[in-house]
Amino acid sequence: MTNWLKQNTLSLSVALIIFLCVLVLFGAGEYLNNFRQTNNWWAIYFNDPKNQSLDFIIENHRTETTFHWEAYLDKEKFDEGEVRVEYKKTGLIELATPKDTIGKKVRLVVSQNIQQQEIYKNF
Amino acid sequence: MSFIIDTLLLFLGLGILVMIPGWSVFRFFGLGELALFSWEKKILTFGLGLVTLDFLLFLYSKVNLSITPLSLLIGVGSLFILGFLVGRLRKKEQLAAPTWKFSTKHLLILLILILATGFIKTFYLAGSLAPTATDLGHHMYWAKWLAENHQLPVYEGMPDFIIGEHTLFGSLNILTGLDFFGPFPIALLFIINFLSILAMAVLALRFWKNNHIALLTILFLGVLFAVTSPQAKFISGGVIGNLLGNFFVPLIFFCYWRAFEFLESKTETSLAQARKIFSAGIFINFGLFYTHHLTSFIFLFVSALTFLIYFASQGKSLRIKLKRFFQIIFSKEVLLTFFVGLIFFFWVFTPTYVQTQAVGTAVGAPSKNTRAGLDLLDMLKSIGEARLALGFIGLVILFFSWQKEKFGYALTASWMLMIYIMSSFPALLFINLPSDRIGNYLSYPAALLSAYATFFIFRRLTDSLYKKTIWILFLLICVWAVSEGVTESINAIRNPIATEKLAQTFSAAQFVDNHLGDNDQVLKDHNYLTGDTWIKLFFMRGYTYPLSRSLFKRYEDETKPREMCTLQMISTPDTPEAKECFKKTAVNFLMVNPQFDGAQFRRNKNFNGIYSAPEIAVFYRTN
Repeated sequence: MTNWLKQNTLSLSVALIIFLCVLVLFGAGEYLNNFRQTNNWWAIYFNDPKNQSLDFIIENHRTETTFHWEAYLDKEKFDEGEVRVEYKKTGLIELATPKDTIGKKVRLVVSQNIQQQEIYKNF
Repeated sequence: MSFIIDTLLLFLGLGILVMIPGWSVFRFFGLGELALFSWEKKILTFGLGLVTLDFLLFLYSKVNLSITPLSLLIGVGSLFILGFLVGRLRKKEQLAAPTWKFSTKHLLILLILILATGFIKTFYLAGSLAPTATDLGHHMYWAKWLAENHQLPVYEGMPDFIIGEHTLFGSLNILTGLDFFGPFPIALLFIINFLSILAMAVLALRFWKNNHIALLTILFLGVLFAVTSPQAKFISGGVIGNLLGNFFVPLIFFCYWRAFEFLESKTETSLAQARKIFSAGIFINFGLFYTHHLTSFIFLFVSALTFLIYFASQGKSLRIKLKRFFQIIFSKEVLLTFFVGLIFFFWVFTPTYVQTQAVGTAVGAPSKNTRAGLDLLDMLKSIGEARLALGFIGLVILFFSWQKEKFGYALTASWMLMIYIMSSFPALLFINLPSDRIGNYLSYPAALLSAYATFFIFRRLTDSLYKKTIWILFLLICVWAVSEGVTESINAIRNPIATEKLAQTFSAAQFVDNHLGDNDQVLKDHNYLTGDTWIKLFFMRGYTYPLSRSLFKRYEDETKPREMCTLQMISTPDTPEAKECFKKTAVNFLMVNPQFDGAQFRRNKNFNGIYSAPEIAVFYRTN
């Protein structure tokens, strides 16, 4: 055993250095470069983008949890509300489609502080 | 703390998939009978293992056997038993030990150099782990395809991808479940790159049988210029083929060099040993051909010049050398390895670049400025002033101290000269390939020759009458080399990628994937989205799915006219040309950066804005 260790000192030392470097890389991947752990953005999207439903989702990756939303038919606001979406969670907002939408555009504007996002459907 | 488990999984996976097959083949070739250092054996085992894994999967592909954890374990287990039995049956020969040793001082310096190499590379890579690199994204698509479909990809006929670039990544994912989006691909490339530097040190050690030159080689290749291409930058960029090629080439040269020791008049290598190590070289050579065509192409040119110079310089002893050479070649071990390799190459699994005759596109008059050759300034930028200057000084010293018997002299000189000619004067050899890509390969022989030159100058100092003056000059050269090498690395270190942008891209990709129907087609932008190449890993609907608006300059490249639809459908969706393109391609999902490409869709009634985040928006075409 001692003889084996003596013969393989260099190989084992090199292997250990490589192992430690790789361990640091995986550690950095988990704590510094992990896109799944990001916490400074949020997004909105339609629950069903292909049909006429206006239900939409807020995906929150910020620690602030309160959002304000407004719904417009062309330039006229027809609904609004406040919603709480926990950090790293999604919140579904169910919204009834107004009458007389043909040829018009329904815009959903969501805001948090000064940030604002908008999605829309043309009818 | 999952990163500890992931690290252990990676090493366990490499142990099972690479080291065990490598160990078996090492015994199969009977390489234990050669005088090898322990670390030489480990590096050679790793190289043999990578190639063996490829061949195992080719065999599975031929007999339509799925690549699953079980089939991988059965394959590796069978190889283990085979290696064990062959080792037992093989006639025991006296194991020779290397005739020289590393002193404790040299061992310590070696470990410090290796530690420094690891530290610099890790420091750089720690900020580049997020999955954003374009090349790596393309490669990981195929690795994921292999893992999901449990078979080898045929690349939709594309010659740019070669199977050896993806087998290890795909198999490791199958066996260990390591995430392609995590640090695993970069960490694996880091290991391969690290081993390529050690392989060069092994090569230097064997060429000159001198510990100092081996240590200096690590200094010039590993510690200095540790980040610039083709080192850590290639790792973070996912230039898999080059990195693997740069590992295989020194190993192949090592094997051939050890075999050619038999040709020397005072040799310690027996014919049997020469045949065994030559066979191992051929085996790894096939591994190279299965991994990277550009490296293989360069390797063939370098080898041709090496053989030419070596045999041409033999003079009267040419006949004896050729006789001994043919004694090595015409043996059952060598011929069997060669023909088994050929059978695999042409009948079991043929690389796509052979099927599509991609070689034809690499030969001919340069078709672009970037293929017309590097000038001296480009070369200095690519290799580094100090390394290039010392490399050429080393070449001159090599010629003046030429030993025609030593294969290593011909090999080192040819390696440097041929790559220099290929990258600076490609027209001389009718080569039509990007010159800067070839130029990157020069750093390996340049490091070897820089080490040789530095050692040679250093040794001469001890005999000189003007010791002090020359010492000062020598120290200045060292300071110049070290400062340039370290500065290059520092300049190359970039700010960490903003992972928020990446997270948004992947969130949008997941959203689109959740709503994709069979007839839907997606177009995304490559200019303003972060990590867009990786979007295809969410869809897994083909390499060219989603379609992509490429870098703008590509649409203006007159030497390579290309389709304009991907540009028009995002940049000018209102125009009749774009409308025609939408009809033709059936694109209905568009993923763009809203700050640069949102306005043209918002004012168009045929598009709904269905996803919105600060860095990415998705539009859906309704009409």
